[in-house]
Amino acid sequence: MIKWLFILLFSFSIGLFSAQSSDAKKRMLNMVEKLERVPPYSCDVNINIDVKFIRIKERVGKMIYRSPEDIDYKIKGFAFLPKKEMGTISTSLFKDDFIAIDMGKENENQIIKVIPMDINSEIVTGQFWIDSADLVQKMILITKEKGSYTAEMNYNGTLYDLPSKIRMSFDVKNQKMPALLTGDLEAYTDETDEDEVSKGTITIMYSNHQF
Amino acid sequence: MSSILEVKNLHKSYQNFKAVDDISFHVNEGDIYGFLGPNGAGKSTTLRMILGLIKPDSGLIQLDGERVDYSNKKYLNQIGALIERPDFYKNLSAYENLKILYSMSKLKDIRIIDDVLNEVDLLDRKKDKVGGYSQGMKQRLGIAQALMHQPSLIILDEPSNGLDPQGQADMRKLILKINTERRITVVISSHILAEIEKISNRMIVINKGRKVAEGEVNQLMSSDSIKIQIKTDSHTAIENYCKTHQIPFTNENESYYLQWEEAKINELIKSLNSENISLYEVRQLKTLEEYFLNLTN
Amino acid sequence: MIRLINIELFKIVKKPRTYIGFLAIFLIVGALQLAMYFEGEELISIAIQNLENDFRLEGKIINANLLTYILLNSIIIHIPILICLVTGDAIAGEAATGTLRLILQRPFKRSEIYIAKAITGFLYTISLMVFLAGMTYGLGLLLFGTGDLIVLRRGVTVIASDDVTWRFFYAFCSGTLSMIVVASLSMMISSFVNNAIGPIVGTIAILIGLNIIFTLGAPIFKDILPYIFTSHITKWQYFFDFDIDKLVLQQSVLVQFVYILIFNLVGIWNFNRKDILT
Repeated sequence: MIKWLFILLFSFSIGLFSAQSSDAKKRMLNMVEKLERVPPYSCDVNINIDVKFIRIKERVGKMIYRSPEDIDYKIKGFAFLPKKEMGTISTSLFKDDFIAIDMGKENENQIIKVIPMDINSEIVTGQFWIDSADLVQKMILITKEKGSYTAEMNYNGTLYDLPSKIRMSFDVKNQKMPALLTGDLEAYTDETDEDEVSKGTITIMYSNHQF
Repeated sequence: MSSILEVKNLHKSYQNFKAVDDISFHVNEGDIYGFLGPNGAGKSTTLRMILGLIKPDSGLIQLDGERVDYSNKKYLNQIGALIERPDFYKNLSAYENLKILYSMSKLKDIRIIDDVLNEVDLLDRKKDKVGGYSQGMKQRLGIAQALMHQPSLIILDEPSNGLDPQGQADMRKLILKINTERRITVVISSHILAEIEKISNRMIVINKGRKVAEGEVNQLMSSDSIKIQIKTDSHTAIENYCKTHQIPFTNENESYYLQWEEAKINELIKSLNSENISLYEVRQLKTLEEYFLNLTN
Repeated sequence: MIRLINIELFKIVKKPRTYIGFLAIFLIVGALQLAMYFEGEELISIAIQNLENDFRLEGKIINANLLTYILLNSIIIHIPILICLVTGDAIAGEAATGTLRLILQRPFKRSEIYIAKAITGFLYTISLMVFLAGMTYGLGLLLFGTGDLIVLRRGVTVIASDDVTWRFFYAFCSGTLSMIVVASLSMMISSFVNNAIGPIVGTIAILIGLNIIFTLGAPIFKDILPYIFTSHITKWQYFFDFDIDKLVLQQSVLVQFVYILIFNLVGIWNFNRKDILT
């Protein structure tokens, strides 16, 4: 009796689990579809960088979006921007088959873990925090060779549910230039840890979208 | 006649070498004063000390009765000089060189440059670079720069150096002209007796930094003036005697050589004896001319 | 004094070697900028390849500002040599040619003559630096245009193009002050010798020697480093920090003024007591 109860319970769990996974996957696919429906647009951007060894003031300019893999920036002056691959990587996660696992909730956001089926995929795993309005509040992507990326989004009701602010964090290797290149011949500096890896953050604020 | 330049007890040593050893002389206004001595005697060093190029270890230099003050170079307004080689800025013309020196003087009328160049026969070459001048031309330009600020005293250190006989004759003529027409006192140094003898009225002879003789040229060059060699072991006493009586002397090879009049030798010996200066040997040697020729040969 | 300065300026202007400095700067700046024009992208990518791994770099890196910054580093060795060619010759060169004897027979104190030569040397130094600034920025503007300045010193600092001009002004002032210290040193050495080569070789030997000793970073020298004048030659780079350390720069200016004073006082003292034998 107990044995049958256990088997019943187990089967129910697997069924439930499968139902939840397929729900999660459906939700992810809906989001991808939503993203693909976004037409090309341009908007104003304000870019701020927070990296240990980089000192730069806020940059303003324009972003031209054609697709997740095709984003151009026109910035006044020089700017550090997120690598193009970040957009490519996040969309390539959903190009091939994947498993989506509902990891529960956190602060009213549903957490969905995505694991690509393709063993050769650049991405090892991704985790998404999605709110009740189907907006991605946060995502973490872990790649094989390029470390981890974290993106946190804010929204203000822009068309197509585009974020008003994205805060991207990633691993950055400390830059040490040879003195001959920099002309910095001063000895006795306080710099240590030549190959120190630290967290870098790029925060981009979007406004004045034009489709 | 008043004294324009007075030098008293001048000393200068370099490490253990005495370049100038207690030299005293005076130059009267209007003199062409010869400064005679072999090479290395200390002539240039003495003249450079008068001009402030070298600082004496001790001694006094007076110009027109006033003590020369090295911290205040105003006295140099009264002196023009050509020391050793006539060195100029080779990349500049004669006119430009003199213009630099004109700017460093109190002169107000720039036409003086052309005047002095004319006086030394270089007016037609004034725009040529000094680097292309012959030795004679450079010497004349040297005289011109010495004359330009209208000094009362000119010091010429070996002005005939490197000149051919005609050049030397021209130089002597120019010096005489400066002295007689412009009434400028001239001090001229040389290691050639004949050169001094020809134009100077008074002179000093130095050797190894010490004064050997001083006085009127015709008097010194006459056979009345001789050299006496004295051997004695009263070294301090004889040196003090000579200093007290202002007798020019030198000390070589344990002998003392005094300049004295031939007619007064006995007087000298008596005087030395009365001072208890023991004399082992007294010998009459040569005239100043012979003495000097021996020094330079 | 004005008269003496005018005379010294006249002499400097008439000397061919005065123009070697300007010609050298023209050639160095021209060569470097042309090299950057044709090969600059490749050279820069070597320097920033680590950055390109983590970021997408948007904007013009090679521009007039960057090239001016790079060329300002020439004050470490190249510019001092060019300065010494003139200032080292000021007294020793005239002693060698005999013209020192000529001017010292004039009714001017030796200290006045020295100061006039020193001021003329400083004016020459300033004119050389102004030429360097004009040449680098002017040619840079022509070839590359303007843009933000990326400084690869103690990390990466990006300075907006409209925030750069005043920094360069102060940087060149700082660099010029350092070069005036070098000019004072070479003049001081010039007063001790009678040949023009000595001050040039001597000054450069001191600069290189001190640079090597203090760049090695031995702990024994750490405390005296701020008081050694060569360590201030690159202080102009501090003007390109995000937060400028005013105290360090003020101390640097003070130290350098003290060196200028000391070198010139020693030079004057020696020149006053020196026997002119040439």
